[in-house]
Amino acid sequence: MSLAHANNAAKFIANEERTNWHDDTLWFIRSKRDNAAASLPEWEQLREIASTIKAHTLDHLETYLIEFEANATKNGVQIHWANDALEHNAIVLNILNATNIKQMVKSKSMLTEECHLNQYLQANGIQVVDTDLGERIVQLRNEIPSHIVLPAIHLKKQDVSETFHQHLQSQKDNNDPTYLTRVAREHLREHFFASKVALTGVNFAVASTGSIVVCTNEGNADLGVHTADIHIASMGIEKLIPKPEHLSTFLRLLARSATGQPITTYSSHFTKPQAGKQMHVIIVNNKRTEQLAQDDFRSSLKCIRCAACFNTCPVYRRSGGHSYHTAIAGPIGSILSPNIDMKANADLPFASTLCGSCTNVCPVKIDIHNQLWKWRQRIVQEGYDATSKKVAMKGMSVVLANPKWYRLTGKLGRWMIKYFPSLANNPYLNVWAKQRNMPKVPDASFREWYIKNRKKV
Amino acid sequence: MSAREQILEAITRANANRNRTALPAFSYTAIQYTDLVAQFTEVLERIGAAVTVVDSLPVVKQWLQALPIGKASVYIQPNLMYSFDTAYLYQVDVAAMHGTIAVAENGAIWLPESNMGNRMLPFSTQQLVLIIAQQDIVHNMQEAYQYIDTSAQGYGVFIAGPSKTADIEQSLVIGAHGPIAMQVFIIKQVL
Repeated sequence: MSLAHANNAAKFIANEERTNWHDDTLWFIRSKRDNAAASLPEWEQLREIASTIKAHTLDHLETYLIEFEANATKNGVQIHWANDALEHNAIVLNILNATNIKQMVKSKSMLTEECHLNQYLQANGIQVVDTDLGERIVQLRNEIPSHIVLPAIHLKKQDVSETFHQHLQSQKDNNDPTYLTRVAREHLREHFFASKVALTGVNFAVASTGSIVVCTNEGNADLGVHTADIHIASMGIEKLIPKPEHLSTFLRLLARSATGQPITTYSSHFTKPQAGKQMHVIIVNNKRTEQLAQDDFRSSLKCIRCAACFNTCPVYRRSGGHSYHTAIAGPIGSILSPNIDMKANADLPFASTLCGSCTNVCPVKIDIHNQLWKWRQRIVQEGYDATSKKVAMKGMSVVLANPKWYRLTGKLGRWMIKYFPSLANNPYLNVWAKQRNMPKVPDASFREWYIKNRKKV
Repeated sequence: MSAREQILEAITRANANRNRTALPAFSYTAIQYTDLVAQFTEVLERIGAAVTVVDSLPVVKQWLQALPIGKASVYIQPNLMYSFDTAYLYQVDVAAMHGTIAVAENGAIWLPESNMGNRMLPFSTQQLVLIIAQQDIVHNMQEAYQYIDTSAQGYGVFIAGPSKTADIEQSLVIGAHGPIAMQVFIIKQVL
C-alpha cells in the first residue's frame, strides 16, 4: 500500500494558516447544513424514505434501467450503454466526430472526471471547456477538483486572481470575487454561444418518464445545453429513481445536505430534445455492478453526491481533497475508489478516524464508516496494507496481549515524554508529533492510581 | 455481448436471490406554514430575489413599461409559440414569464417550457421576472409534484432565485452564468 494520502496531506498541512481556513470554511458549511436540516421537522423521515427508495431501486435496477431506456427512447432521446470508462469516452468522441465538431462545453459531472474524459478528448483533438466556475478555475490551473460540490475549495482568491490574470487577462491583483466571477461570466458566455455540443452530468434519472434532472446554482448547465445542437448527458447506472414524485424527497435533501441551501437555484427536468436537436444519454457501469454484488459495499451506490460527508470529516477538512488522489475524495470516495482499483487506493479507507460523523449526516443513510472499516479488513486480507502498518500492528498485538509488557511500555512512554520531551516531540523520531504537541503525562497510570487509592474509599 | 447486455446481466446476477426492498410509504406530513406568502417571500429574499405582491397582471406590465430606456425587455405570454434568434436572446435585459406552481418551503417556482418562449431565455436574460398567482403557492415540494406533470413537455425547471456561485473562497456572488437579478411578482387576483 502506498502512503499517498498521508504524504499528500503532509504537504497540504505545511501551510498552517491555509489548513485552518480550509477546516473552518468546511465546518461552517456543515453548520449551515445542520440549520437547513433543522428547518424541516420531517428531516429524519425524509432520510429514511430516501434511503429506502434507493434500496428499492437498486434491488430492481435491471427493470428500472430497461423502463428508463424505453421511455427515453420514446421521447426521442438516444440511449447509449458503456461498460467502462473507455467505452464511455469513445461514445462521446463518436458523437462529436459524426458531426465534425471540435469544441464542447461541459457542466459539472463527476462521472466524466472518474472516466478522465477531458484528457481523452483533448488527446483526440477536441477542445473541452468546463463551465462551472470552480471547475473552470481548476481546469485553467491543470488541476482536478478537490471537492465534488466546491471544486476549487483548496484555493484562495489570490490564486484565482492570478490564474485569471494569466489566462483571461483580468486585472492583476484584483482579488474581488464579484469582479472575478464577472470575468468568468463574459469569458464563458462566448463559449456557450460558440459551442454546438454540451455535456452535462445527471443528478436523477426517472424511470417512469425517461427524464433526467440536473441540479445547478450557476445556470451553466442550462445555458450550455439550450444554446447547443447536441446535448450529451452522462450517468452512472445508480442515478435511477422510479417516479417523478420521488424527486421531491431527493430535492428536499440534496441542497440542504450539500450547502445548506433550501434547494439549488435550478432543478432542470430534461425530457425531450428541442425540435431539430439531439439529446443523448450515456448509461455507464465502470465497475458499479461489482459494488452492487457485494453485500458489504452495495449501499454505497445510494450516494447522491451531496458531499455532506466531506464537510463534516475531520480528516478531509484537514488534509484537502487532492490528498485523496481520486476523482471523488472524502469519506464516500474512500469507499467507492477501492472498488475501482483496490491496490492503488488501498490507503484511502485508512484516511479516517472512523468517528462516524459521515454516516450521521448522509442524507441516504449510507453506513460510510462501517464500510471504511470493512475495506480495511479486505485490504489487509489481500495484503495491500503498508509494511510499516503490518509491523506496528504485530508489535501492538504482542504488547496488548501481555499485561507485563503493556505496563512496562506504558511506563516507558510516560518516562520518555516527561524527561525527554524534545525527543518525544521530534516529528522525525515520533510520527505522532507531526503537527501535534504531545500531551502532559500523568505521574502514574490509572492502574497504579487505582491500586493506591482503592483502600481510601 | 453488447455493453447493454453485459451491464444488465451483471445487475441481474448481483440481484439474484435477494430479498427485494419494497417502495416506502410517505408516512409523514410534510411541513405546513400558517402564512404561505410570508414564508415564500422570506425564503426568496434570503436567496437573493426581490418579491412584490401586486393586485393584478396589468401592474406587472406597467412595471415592465416603466423600465429605463435602453433596457431590452420581453413579456412571454403563456402557451404561445415564439421564435427568437439566439443572438437576440443574449441581448435581452429583462424577461418576464409565468410560473405555474410556487413552493413556500424553498422559494422554487415551476416554469414549464410552454411558458418560457425559448428554453434559453430564463438563463440568458440579465434579469428574470417570474409571475405567480398567490393561489398557486403550495407548502412544500411533495405537494408541488402532485400538481405538475414533469414530462408533459420536453423541458421544465424549478427556479429559486437568481444564478449564484460561491466557488471563489466561499464568497457568495449573485449572478454567475444565468440572471444577475430576479424579481418575483405574486398576483393576488384570482387568475
